[in-house]
Amino acid sequence: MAVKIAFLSFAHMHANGYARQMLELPKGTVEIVGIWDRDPARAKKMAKALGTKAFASRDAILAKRPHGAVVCSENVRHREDTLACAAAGVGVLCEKPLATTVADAKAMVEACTHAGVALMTAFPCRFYGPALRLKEQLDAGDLGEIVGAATTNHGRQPGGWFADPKFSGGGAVMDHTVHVADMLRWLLGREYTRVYAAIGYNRFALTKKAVGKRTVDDAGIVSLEMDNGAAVSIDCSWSRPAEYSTWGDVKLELVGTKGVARLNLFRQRLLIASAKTGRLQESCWADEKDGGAPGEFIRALREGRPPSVTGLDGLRATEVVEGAYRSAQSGTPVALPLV
Amino acid sequence: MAGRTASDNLRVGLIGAGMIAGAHSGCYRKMDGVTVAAVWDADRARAQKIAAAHNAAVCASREELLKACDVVDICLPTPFHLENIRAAAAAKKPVISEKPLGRSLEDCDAAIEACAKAKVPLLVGHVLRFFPEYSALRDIILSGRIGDPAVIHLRRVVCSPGGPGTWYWNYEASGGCVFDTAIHDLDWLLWTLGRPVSVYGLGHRDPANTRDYALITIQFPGGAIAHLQSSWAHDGFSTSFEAAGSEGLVEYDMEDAVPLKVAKIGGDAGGGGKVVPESPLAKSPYQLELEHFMDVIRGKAKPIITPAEARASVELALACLDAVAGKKVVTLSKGKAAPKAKAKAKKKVKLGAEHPE
Ligand SMILES: NC(=O)c1ccc[n+]([C@@H]2O[C@H](COP(=O)([O-])OP(=O)(O)OC[C@H]3O[C@@H](n4cnc5c(N)ncnc54)[C@H](O)[C@@H]3O)[C@@H](O)[C@H]2O)c1
Repeated sequence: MAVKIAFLSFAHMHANGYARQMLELPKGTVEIVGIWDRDPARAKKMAKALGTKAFASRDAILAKRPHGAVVCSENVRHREDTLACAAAGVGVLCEKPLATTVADAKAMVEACTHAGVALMTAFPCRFYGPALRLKEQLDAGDLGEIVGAATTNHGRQPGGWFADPKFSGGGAVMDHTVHVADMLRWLLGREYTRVYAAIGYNRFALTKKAVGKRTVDDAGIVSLEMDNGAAVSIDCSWSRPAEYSTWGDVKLELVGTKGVARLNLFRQRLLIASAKTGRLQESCWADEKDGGAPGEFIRALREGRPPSVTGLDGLRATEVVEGAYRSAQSGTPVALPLV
Repeated sequence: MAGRTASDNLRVGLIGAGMIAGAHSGCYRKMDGVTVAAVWDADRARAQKIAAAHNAAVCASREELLKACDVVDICLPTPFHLENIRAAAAAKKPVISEKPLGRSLEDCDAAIEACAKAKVPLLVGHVLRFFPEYSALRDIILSGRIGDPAVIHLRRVVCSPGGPGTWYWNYEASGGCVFDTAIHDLDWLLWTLGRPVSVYGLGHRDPANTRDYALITIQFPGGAIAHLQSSWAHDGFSTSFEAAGSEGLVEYDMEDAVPLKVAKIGGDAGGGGKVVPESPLAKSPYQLELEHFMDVIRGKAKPIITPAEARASVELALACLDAVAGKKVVTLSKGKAAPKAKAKAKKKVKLGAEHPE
């Protein structure tokens, strides 16, 4: 029997990728029951593109009793949409960041636990082959004890609601800290004990263009300590200019007592110079294993087990973000966990 | 050089004949108007080896060396810089000293005072200023080509310098990777962005196993954030940087900047091939630096690096050490820094304001 999936909002364009990854799973694995979106026009458009139906309300789509729902609404609406799913007994694959505050994340984890439904945070980086191979080598002890990690998850100003904290909950720190923060917890099997952040607002021309009179953080160096004393830094800045060859990167340099590893998740790429674009561009062919995060979500629903990436993982990453903003405000490190 | 007389020639006395002295020695051999005339090192065999390449005298003492040279070049472990700078100044010899100027601010102040009193130049080897990629990055930033600098990464990773048991692994002597090695990047930051407001750091130190590592965040008055990755825990030497500004981005990775790679099939690494990277430069940054220092000593150039700037780099490096050791934020004062006892020197060595161009 196919796993029935509802899509709640395409505000985050990752919903499109998740839908396509699900449709690429072996025939008969997934049935997309439809799409609901606060923007009815977008729901119609995406339903047409994916060969499914648009629903007029969230209640209506949840009444179809899907097994799971993909929540890709604006960050601040993750809580509301997830709680509605939990109340309807529907499992959730929620776009990152799980929530914009620790309180929201906690409420989501509790609601899903209470309702006995799956809650998975979409952290796709865990599903790329090179990341999985690095994890194997770390687990085998090839690098010894990891004592430091300098990392980046650069991006380009995404514009739209991402640049409006009313909907996004914050800028670059909200958007681009959680991927690597989660990867390191997963790779090293360790928790964070403290966070310090240096954050800049409206630093980049693209931001100034996107935000109008608002201010949004677009530069950040987040420093973290792990429970083995390891030193970590994450550059989450939206620092790639429009003229740059690609959207950004995910790079990790891990220093261990027995060796060093440098992971550049999207290094497998072509460089293309074209008069049509007037600049050098990259085309990347990195792929995710077994349908990536959506594939894992579907398998977890089928097998009636918790997904490998949980709501708690999303909560821990959200703690890093909230701690980072608090730290930048106070100018001092903030102890973790927050809850 | 046409028209040069023997009296134009500067005789260098090399104090210390270790790793960096070897690099200086190679440069001096290629330079006009400079000869290495005397070498002194506590380890006579080392002094002999370098002296042989120059037909220079192997000295039994510093006093002997000072009598045989016009310029003193100090290539000793950092804690020994001061006493040798003092001795050279007392003998009225212009001084070239390797970086860091001293292990403490007190040492720096005393060294600066001694040279000022003797009216001899004090030229500190912050060689990064002579690396074309780093001076170009500075020019790009100062020209406004990438707009306002927002986030700057500087990465300098090395495998255990000196090796176990050497002075490098005596933290009191070298200050570890941050004080000895990241100071290059700190000096570049001061040179380019001026005096920062605060420093935060995390790290790992295990000298017994020759590992030292730090991640440092530095914030500047205009809002720029710098991040340093400093390591003596890597497998080899590597540097890279990135500067993101409001209007653009600059990237550099030493490992991508190798214009010639020659691989011999079945080379001496056993079955595998051997890659031989070469410096792409006609003149090494060390030679450019030493040529500039000689020009300053001849009165032909103003120093690209002043003693006050070398002191400011030490001050910032000490703040970083403090931050990393305490995993805390260290706030930098607004430019007064010299200790009270050195009130007179204080004026000369005032920090900060002189840094931006
Ligand atoms: N600019 C650069 O890129 C660079 C690179 C490496 C080192 N350095 C600096 O150069 C200085 C020397 O470093 P190194 O790598 O050449 O060290 P090293 O250990 O290789 O050499 C030091 C030499 O000094 C001699 N020595 C030690 N104490 C002495 C004393 N009290 N009197 C006389 N001789 C003494 C030793 O025998 C040795 O030959 C340090 O300050 C270091 O920070 C700069």
